[in-house]
Amino acid sequence: MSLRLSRRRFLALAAVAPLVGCSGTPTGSGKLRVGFMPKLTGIPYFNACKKGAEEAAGELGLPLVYNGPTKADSGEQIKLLTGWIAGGEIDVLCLACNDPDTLVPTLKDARAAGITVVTYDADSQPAARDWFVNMATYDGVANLMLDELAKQMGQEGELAILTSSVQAPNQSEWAKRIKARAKERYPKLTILPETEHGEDRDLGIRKANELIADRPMLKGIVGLTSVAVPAAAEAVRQKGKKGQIHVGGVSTPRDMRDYVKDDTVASFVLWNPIDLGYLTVHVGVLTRQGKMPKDGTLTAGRLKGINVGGGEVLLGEPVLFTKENVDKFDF
Amino acid sequence: MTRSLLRALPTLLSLALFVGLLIFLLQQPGPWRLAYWFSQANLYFAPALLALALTPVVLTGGIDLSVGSVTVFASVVVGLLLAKLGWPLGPALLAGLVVGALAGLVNGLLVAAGVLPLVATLATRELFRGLALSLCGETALALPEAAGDLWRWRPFGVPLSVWAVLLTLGVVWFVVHHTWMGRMLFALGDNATAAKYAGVPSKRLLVGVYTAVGLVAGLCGVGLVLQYPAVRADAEKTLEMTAIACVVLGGVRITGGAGHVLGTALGIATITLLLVALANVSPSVRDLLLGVLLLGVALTGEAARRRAR
Repeated sequence: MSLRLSRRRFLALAAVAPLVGCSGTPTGSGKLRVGFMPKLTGIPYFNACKKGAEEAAGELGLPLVYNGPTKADSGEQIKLLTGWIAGGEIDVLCLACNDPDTLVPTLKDARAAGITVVTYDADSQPAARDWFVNMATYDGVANLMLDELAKQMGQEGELAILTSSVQAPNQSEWAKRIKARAKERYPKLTILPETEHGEDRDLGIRKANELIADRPMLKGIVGLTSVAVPAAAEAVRQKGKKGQIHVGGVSTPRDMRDYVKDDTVASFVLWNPIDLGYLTVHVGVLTRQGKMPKDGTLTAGRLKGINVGGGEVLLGEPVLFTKENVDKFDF
Repeated sequence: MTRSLLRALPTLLSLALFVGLLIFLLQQPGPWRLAYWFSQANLYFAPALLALALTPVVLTGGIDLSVGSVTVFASVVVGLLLAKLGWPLGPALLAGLVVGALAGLVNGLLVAAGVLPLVATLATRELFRGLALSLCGETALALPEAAGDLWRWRPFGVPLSVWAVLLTLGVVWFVVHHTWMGRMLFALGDNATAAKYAGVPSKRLLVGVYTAVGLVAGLCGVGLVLQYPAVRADAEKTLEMTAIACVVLGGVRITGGAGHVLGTALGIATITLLLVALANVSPSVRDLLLGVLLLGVALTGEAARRRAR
């Protein structure tokens, strides 16, 4: 029975194989379906990524499937991805990973099913994807965050790190570099162990309040997620510590506008998430069409001179946002 | 005639829901393919296995709330043996099964000693979760690559997770409905005192069924290790609730003495379809809907029983 089934399946495969070969060749046909998944839905940062992805898909005339979990959880991502992959719903997958390891088997299944996998914002294990679109180098972001805060703190006192979770891929890389650079450049600065808030605003405010209450020597908080920085700023505002405890880190203009305008926060760091989503979709489609260079520079739609190499595509240098430029960005 | 129809009401409800969900899912092209269901089975095999193993326990009038914790505890032990102590795959997986069975044995001995199953397994639920957390903390433990290859092995084109569920279903069905042990399970759940005077070896039977649940939880833990290249001590926090929901939805009487393994199988199929259909709904809404569903089953079941009397 099973033998007959497998023979029949083999024949079916043999019959279909040339057709599959046809549709898979780099013809640039308008039928590629792009799946785009954030770490979680409903926050301004990933909404901006989505906007860029829609822009790119629109230019290319491709349908975009957008979905993501309501909380930053790799298990939830796996459930949605399994539906996409097993249902044959997409040809190109763009994904921001909540965990570099757990998603690996699912991404391998995707590639075995012929789907091109591009990670953005947060990478998986490199072997599980075709490309990682990096928004800025870990060094670039970590150095800018630390240098700005160190300047505001007079290069002394305690600096707390508010992160989503210790093993979150970007956050752990940044934290590692912040600690190393502080040890090397700012000997009077003490970096406290990471405090976790799970990308939950209320929890972030509570943890920041606890830090302020428990650590009399605290002079700064660096937030490593777009939720952590406004949460820390909110805690500083509530406790009336403006000017005494400095807040910085990675966040979005929309999340931070209030706090920058009333001087609770002097500056924060980011890249352009719209461009990130835009570039990711282009990289996915170019890879699928066989037009992606292994290294060198790349022109992707309106973005020019993008660096490519070592399995990664680099969007550019991080941007410092202050009172002067925060109103120019709508994400 | 009407009586038996009333008794079957929860089962009919489950069946109607199953058909409805299936029609809903088949609106899309994906679920028409067998490979789609194999992939989904890989995600939801653990509650299915646990529900099957829990059925004999519930038939005796007992419950095991610790299955999720034992599953995670076993997966953490296997993970540590593989990643930290460098054990080869085979012995490490075997150790996971042994750890699960031992945890089940602890539950069985407690229940046989007269501790209420609800209390005993609530305590061990915290105990084994706590042990897992103290062994590996709240961070993920990455595993060597090789573990995943076995998971990809598909005998006769069917994934291991599906084989495990089918084999467990076969074994539990045979033991419960076709052996003297099965008949004694029903006797014990129907009236423990009468069963005792009738010579049912209650204690040995209880130790046996709880140990079997532990063994299956160990198997689930092993499955998690094979499936994901990392283990977490704080994973799978609603596993036991999903499993118990399958048993209850399958029409097994929660106070013991009545039910059918095939009912549990229907409950598993319905709950799995529900979880697949609601994959893009937030987990809290999913839990809410599951709660409403169980409440509905409990109420219709109770109403049916009163009418039947």
